[in-house]
Amino acid sequence: MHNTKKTAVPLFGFLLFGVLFSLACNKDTPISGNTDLINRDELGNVLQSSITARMDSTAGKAINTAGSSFLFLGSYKDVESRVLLRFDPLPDSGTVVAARLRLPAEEATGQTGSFDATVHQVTTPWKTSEVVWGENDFPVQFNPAMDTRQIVATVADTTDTIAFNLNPQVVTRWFSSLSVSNRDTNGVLLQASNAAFIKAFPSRSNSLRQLFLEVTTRTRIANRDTTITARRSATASVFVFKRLAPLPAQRLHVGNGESLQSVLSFDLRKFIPDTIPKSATISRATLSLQFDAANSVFVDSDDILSLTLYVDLRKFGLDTLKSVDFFQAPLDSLLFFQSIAAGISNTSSQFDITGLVQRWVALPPEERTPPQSYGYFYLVPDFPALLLSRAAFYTRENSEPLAPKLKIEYTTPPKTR
Amino acid sequence: MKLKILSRLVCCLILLLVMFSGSAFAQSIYSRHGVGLLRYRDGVRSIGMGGIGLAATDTVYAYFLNPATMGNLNLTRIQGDFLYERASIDLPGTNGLFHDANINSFSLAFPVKRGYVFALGIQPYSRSEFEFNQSKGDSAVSYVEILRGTGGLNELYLAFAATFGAVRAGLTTDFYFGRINRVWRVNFTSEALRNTEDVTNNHLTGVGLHLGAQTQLGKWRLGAATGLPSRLSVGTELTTITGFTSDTSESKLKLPLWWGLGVSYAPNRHWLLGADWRTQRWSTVKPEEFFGARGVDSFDLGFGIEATPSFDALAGYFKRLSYRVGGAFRQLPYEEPAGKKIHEWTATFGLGLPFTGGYNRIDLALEIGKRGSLSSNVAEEKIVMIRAAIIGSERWFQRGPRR
Repeated sequence: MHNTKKTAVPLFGFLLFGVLFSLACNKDTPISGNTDLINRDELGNVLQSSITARMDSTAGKAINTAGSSFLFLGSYKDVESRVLLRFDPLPDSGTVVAARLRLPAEEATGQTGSFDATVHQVTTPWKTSEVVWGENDFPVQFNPAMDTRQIVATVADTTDTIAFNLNPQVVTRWFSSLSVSNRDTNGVLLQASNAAFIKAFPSRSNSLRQLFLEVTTRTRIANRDTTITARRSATASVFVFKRLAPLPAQRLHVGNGESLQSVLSFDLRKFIPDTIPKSATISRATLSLQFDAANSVFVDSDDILSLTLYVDLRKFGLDTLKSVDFFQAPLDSLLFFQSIAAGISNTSSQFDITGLVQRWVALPPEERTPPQSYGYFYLVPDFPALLLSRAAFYTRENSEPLAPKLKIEYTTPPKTR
Repeated sequence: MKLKILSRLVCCLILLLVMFSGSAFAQSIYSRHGVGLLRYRDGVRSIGMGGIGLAATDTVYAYFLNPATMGNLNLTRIQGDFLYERASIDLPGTNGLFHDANINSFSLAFPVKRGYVFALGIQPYSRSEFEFNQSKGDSAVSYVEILRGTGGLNELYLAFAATFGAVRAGLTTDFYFGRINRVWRVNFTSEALRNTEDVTNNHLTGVGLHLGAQTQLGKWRLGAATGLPSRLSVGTELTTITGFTSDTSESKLKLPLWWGLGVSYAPNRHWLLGADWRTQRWSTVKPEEFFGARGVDSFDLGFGIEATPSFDALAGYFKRLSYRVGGAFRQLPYEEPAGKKIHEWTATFGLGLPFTGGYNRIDLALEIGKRGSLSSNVAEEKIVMIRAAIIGSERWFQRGPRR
């Protein structure tokens, strides 16, 4: 046999291997629809469980609104809001013959119609960054009304302005030479009576529109009486509000004016790992809260309340639930966001907490510190100082479809090898 | 020259082994039970003749099942083989088609003295490869559930054969190792749900022994071999897609006694006829020692013929080829459904191609057959297997002829 032929034999052999390997790379057609051939124990299970909150609670307190871009005046549902304004001392320049407070009008929340708004001279000082009303008496004393104006709910156009006439004698006391010792009272209070809606005005923090004080003085220049009109922006503006009735019962509330926060807890001590074993894969876990539109407050129809769900695994357990000081509580870094839009429909708000529940499942009970803190959630509003909105959710006392639920869809591994 | 050839063969085989060590074997419905389909068989030459090998000794081939047959080798042999497998699976109402290819085995045998041979090698004992999927769920949650089985049991063996007059005897130590995996997946239709992948890994290790004897009576050769029962350690652990890993649980897997008898008849150098019978007592294995499967006794019955027209180096190449034909009938170690035995039959064809002298070979074997039956079992599988082996030879540890 020639050498070339001898070499050809292994070459043909390798060529055959190559052909067969390429055949093996063809796409297989798998067997479908036949898991019934398999012993049931060789397959895992696709399951779902639902657990209702064991405890829930709401707490909150009125907070200072100095950072808000809007001022709210009037009453809506169970909230009454007033406006405090302060001005820097005016330059000594003659005699005040007229003074007007001009407020650009913004949207209204609540019923249509009108209410009477009054303007009052403030007689006690207030601190911009601290003043709140809340459940206490009104924090500032004031004189009887200087002027009354009718506020309508509708806004004709963006140039709509409400002008209050101020008593010139009151404004004269705001001259710098006269207000050295009491400059903190250089301001007014706006309040409403018989209001069925809340009217919004831009605050001094608003970058688009500004309220201002228009002061007309008469002064003698070159032996002639001269009238001068000047505008002064407010140096401080806040709205202070009070809830006139207790919060609706059997509801969890989250709000960003009163800084309402809620806590709810699910007893997972037996649920994990007895029902959901450590080896389970959490396909989806959602915290479901049923929104109650009738008991919620939104300051305008486009309002969206951003909620943040915090989880704290370290500090609190069920036993301390009611004594928790929410505002001092350190929050864990696990955050879940959800937005609640203004509206009348009662929707279900779902927080996807799949990763969190998977973490709980993975951690053995002996490593949980404290063990009872599992299933414990904070529901906190975003931007708590800026608006006056409040969302209500049904509590655990309500019927099963409405109560807060933790719904967990999960799989458990096959039992056999 | 020979050293170069052997070195090249070793390099090629190692390269192929590395390249394709991750490849799978063709699927079989029946490989979902126990340790899967049994794959411990002799080499490509033997398979070309229906799997006979217990009594078919010669100076070229090293047979695995009966180590006594190696006592006839007079040169160091290295051989490796490759397997291409195609399975067309029919089930009531559905079917599937699978192709796979892989390196199958590797062995090295070297005589230390005339009639005394050491051998070592690696080859599969069993293979498990299957996949099922099914759509499930309702309008709220729908998903595809998939169960896939892969892996198998391998054995690394060390064998020694010795010749005592007309009788050859051999002893092999088998080191079993392998991994049998079950992967259960749930792929949800909705992207909002996290998919599941739970992998159950079974790591198997253990040691066994098998031995055999062979003798020649005129033109007849007789061979017998047996494998002693052995218990393998199985470490099982579960790993999930979330990173969970279970503690390893320990259990045992029992490989029961097997034994076989073979007979061959060689009227002259050009013809060889033979038949083998081999059985294994799987019915003695409890389900808890067999991955939950209920075993039945398996058997292999094979017969075959080989013809080599000429051994003359000057003869035409096709006259120097070895032509083989045979058949095999087997019973698998599982029942499906309960009480219904599963049988497999194959028709086999083979070729032996000498190159660079008569001691180096490429062997080819083709098996065509059927596994299971739709009339009595859950599935019928039409199987085609093509095997190719490269065999190189060289003189080691032996003095050359005096000059």
